[in-house]
Amino acid sequence: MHLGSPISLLGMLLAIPLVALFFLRIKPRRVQVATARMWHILMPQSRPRQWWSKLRDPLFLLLQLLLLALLVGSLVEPQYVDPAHPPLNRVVLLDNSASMAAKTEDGTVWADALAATVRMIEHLRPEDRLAIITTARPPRILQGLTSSKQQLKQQLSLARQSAASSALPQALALADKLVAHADHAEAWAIGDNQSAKGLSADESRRIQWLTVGKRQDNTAIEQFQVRRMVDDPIGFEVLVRVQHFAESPRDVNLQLTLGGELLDVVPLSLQPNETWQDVLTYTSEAGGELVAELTGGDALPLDDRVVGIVPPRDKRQVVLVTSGSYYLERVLRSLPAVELTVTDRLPDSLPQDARVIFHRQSLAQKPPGRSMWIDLVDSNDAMQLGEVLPQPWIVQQAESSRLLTHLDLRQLPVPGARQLILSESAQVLASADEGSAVLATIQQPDGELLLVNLSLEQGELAWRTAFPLLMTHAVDWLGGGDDDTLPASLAAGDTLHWPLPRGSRATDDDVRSFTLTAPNGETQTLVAVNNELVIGPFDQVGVWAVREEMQLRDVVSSGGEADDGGATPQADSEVAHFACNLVNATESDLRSHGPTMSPQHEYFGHRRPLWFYGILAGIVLLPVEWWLYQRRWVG
Amino acid sequence: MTVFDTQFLQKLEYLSLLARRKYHGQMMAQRATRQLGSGIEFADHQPYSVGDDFRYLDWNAYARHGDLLLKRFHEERDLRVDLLIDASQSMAVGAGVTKFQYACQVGAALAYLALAQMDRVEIVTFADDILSTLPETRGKAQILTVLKFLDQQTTRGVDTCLDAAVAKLTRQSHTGGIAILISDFLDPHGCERALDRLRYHQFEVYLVHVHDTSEADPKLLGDYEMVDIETGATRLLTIRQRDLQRYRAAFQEFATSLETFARQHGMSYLRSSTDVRFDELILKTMRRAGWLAGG
Repeated sequence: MHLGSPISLLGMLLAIPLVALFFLRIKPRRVQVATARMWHILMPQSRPRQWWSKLRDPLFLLLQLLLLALLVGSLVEPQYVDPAHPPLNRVVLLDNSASMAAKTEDGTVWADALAATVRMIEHLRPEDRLAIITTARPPRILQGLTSSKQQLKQQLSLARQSAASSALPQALALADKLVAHADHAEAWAIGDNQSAKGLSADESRRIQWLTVGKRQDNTAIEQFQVRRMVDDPIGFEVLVRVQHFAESPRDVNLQLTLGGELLDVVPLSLQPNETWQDVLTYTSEAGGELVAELTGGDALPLDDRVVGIVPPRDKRQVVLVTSGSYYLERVLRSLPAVELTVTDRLPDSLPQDARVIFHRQSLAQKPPGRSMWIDLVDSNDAMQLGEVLPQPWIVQQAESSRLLTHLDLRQLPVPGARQLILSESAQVLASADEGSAVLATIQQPDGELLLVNLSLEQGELAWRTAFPLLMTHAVDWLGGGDDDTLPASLAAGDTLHWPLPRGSRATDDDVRSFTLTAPNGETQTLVAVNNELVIGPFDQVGVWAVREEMQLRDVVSSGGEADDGGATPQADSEVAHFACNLVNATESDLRSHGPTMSPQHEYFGHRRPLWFYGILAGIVLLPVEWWLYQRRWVG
Repeated sequence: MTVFDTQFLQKLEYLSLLARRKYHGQMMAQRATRQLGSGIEFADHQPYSVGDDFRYLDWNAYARHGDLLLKRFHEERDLRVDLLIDASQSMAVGAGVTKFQYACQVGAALAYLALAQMDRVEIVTFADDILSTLPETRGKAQILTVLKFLDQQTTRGVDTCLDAAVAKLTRQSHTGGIAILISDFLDPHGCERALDRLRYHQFEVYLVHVHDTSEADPKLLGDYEMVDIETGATRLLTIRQRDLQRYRAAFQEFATSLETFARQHGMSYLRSSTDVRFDELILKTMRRAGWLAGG
């Protein structure tokens, strides 16, 4: 603000009534009285006699105008730039990472950091500017450079402590961009500054440190992974790692609950700096939310409780169309949760969600949707089947395909494999030494095909343990199992690029919107782009839910008239759940702290200039002057 | 001039001005005098002399003592009432009714009382001198003359001088009777000398002190240019609450000193503000003060 601003101009307009009142006031009101003798006896005429008394009225006017100028000056916040202390551009790197949730005697470290930041804002000089960046992954600019203390405090009140780890180097890089064209820039890190050791020496020197909190012992669950067992239809495995960041031993219980029901309690006797790790196996067909919790409590509750999702195990309908394959039928019957139907030709109607496997069948009877073809007998537009390869074996396989998880088919002889020429839409998963595909997926207009180009009767595959595993993956793939790309557990701060499951994918002209519900109940709307959702960053630990917003479009009333045209929201359908945990040793280790706090006088800057107090005195003097001049308030 | 309503006049019929002393009247009327004559109030006896009227012989005394005695009675004559109304400029002050208008109303009512009692009434308006005079008049029928006279009066004069007016009045007129002085008594020369002069000339003096509310309790704060309405002199003052308090105290002291002087010298004193209805002043205040009798 400056003197040309509307407020200051309006303020200076107050001088007009002040002067007008002055002239009105020096002209006394004329009043007739029956006799003036009594007044004369009581009060001698107050006509000024000394020369300075005659100037009393103009002096009072000048004093009033001076006071008005001081008041207007306070409104426009004039700035005086001291050459010895030029204006600063200060960036506060506010640590809101998970470790800031650590308890202190009178609250949390986060509360201390907020209080320190507020103090810094309050002691900001008018000519200084300040910006706030939160350092939890990913770093965010909470407020750009500004000298408005009100704006800074308002934005600071919106800052939220995250469950993610700190990313101080990235935050510092962001600060560098923010003050790239500003002079006298400086960066202040406020927090426990545990991540200071992730900085280079040069970066560390550029930062001034204000460390809050204290060193504390802590016990944390450092790793937590849940997955269904391959060989057990209702079994699941839990990988747990507990680390004790302390110099003294501690006895603690690890308590596991599934869907709210107590599952297990594991007593742990942890030695200083000990890490305990185990893989625990349990069974549950229904699955649910698995919670592991360290009882007893400690300085950081955030890493004492972790969650995981155990997916439910449903029965899978498999239809095997074959003229007869003993090995194939026995393998499919041995798979957990599989209900197998064997037939020599494709039935007219298939069960819902049926997975169809063809063995030595013609592609002419291909149904819509995904299907698996073993030992091909003919060709179609997408592939050309050639002659039988002489003594083929697999020499190369794809690394990232879920169909080949835990499988190594390399050096496996595949007699009976034939030359296979595929279209460009095909993805080769395994190929023989001649370059011909042995295992491949190919995209057709009405669905994908999984091709297994070998003879089960001639080769060794059916005898190997890899075959049941391959068929397990294949059955999952036929049921859309490759969409099950959910990571077993996410780390706080992650951002997930999640391809939509097959049932939720949109056509070209359709836009699907989803609702993301955080563990604390907050929701936000997500829109799928190219059938992929970008979710996150996950700044809270717990279970995040994605629901699809079901809408009725173009609803026409029974009278044939269109309604108001708006989409009517219906009950949302749940699409997926994501478990998010703080699994970060750096954040959990509360014994490591950042550098020592910088000297206080440098941190707090300068107090208010003297003219501020002058204006304050002016405000106090104004009624005094009025009282002195009027002298009417007495009594 | 406000004409009195019938009800007020009826009430006045039953009232009469009280005189503490007895005076020599001039004409037959209703007031007892020191003169002995044909009144109805017994005075004393005197021995019978030849030629006396037998009607006045006290036969009861003759039967008891054997002496022929004549009964003598107080003569009932009239009383002279002088109404002195202040017509100086200071009496022109007043928000609704000015002090002068109020004084004229009170004076007219008292004149009616006197005329109804067959007393002789003379009305004088004064300021620094006698401004106008309604010559001595008698009889209730003369009330219209009184009202007409008062209606013609206005405030004038440069400076109030009550003593000069009284001195002239006593020189021109006889002595004795009731003198009712209606004024604000804001006389720069003081009014004590004038009152002494009236007492010296055997007048029974009644003082009606009229003031305006703005005089007793002014609402003035701040800078003022005071204009003396009589002299025209101006005065610049800055008035504070403290000054107002001092003024109120001074005015009260002025009124009290006047009342004290009047009481100490056997005069009757009444003070009234112009916001008090004049009929209320006559019918209630003056009766309570013992100025009027009857009713």
